[in-house]
Amino acid sequence: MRDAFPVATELCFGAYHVDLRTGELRKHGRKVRLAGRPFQILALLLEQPGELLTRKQLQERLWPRDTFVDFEHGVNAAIQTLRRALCDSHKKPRYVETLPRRGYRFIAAVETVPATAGGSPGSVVHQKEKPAAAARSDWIGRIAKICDDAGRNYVLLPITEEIFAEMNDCEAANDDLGISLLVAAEKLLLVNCGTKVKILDARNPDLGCKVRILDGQFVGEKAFASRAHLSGLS
Amino acid sequence: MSLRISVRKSGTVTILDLMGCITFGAAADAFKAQLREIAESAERDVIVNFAEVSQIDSSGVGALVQSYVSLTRGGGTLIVINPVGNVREVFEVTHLNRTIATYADEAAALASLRSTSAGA
Repeated sequence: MRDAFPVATELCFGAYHVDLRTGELRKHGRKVRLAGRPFQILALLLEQPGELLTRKQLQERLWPRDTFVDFEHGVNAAIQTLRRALCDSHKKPRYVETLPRRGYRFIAAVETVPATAGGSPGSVVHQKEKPAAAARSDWIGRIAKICDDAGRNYVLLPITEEIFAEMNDCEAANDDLGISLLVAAEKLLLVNCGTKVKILDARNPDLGCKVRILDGQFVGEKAFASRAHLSGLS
Repeated sequence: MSLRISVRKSGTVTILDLMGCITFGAAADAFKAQLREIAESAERDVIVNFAEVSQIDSSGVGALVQSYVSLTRGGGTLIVINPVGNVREVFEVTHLNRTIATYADEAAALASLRSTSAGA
């Protein structure tokens, strides 16, 4: 089977980061389990965001002609797995839209991450973890605002980095009750966008920062804010 | 703004019409107490009407989730109807709209409860 991936590159959409060379998907810096055909379909969709990827194209590129398989079932299952990994919904898609009887379209804005030194395009880099960005000690004590790139008025702030990981695990597993229970237990704090926070720790700025909430219902509480939910830092 | 809770029945189903805000303190406590009373009764199917609720915070979400879990464990059902505006957004952010069955109107919620009972 030929390689279905386009020229090696890194792409971002929403809270997600895709490394097409290593076949890794990350959300807020944390790895999301996605492999095989579901990942290959994501890669094909990201080749041409906004464009229709027909079921026939999918079949030609991902299912070899000389193999007898239940293509219809295979593609449906792969799309379902992909949607689960992206916490996406068939009815209200944020990323993968179904065009009935025709195919699929990637509907979110996609950004290309500039290539880093050390890997020529197309080369396979077997990299276990991305090197961590340098700590931003200059952020400590600064005031930032909570924001949401999806334009919502609220976000969930985990109280620790461990709860952040648990929340991501729940999302990857589509464990909606798990998320709701974390809110009920006040391990995920429901915070208004625009809430001010003070940066307490920025050892892993790509992922997020430990913060103290300065106003609203949870004033005085500590939390872990992902980088995507912090504005006013540069 | 406080919370007002009106209770009515449709057959064996209890319907709570809420009006106001479900926020930290007396409002969230009253809401939770009302749902606990239903969870401890013989008829444990409840529809919560959020049409007149303008605000809900973490405490309100907590009360709803805990009540949902205890009602479900006891063999009951909790359905939400008519969440609008900020309340609807809070439900989406906290995944409550996927955890708890949510309908746009009372008739659809009652029909769902009846079909569940008939199929049982």
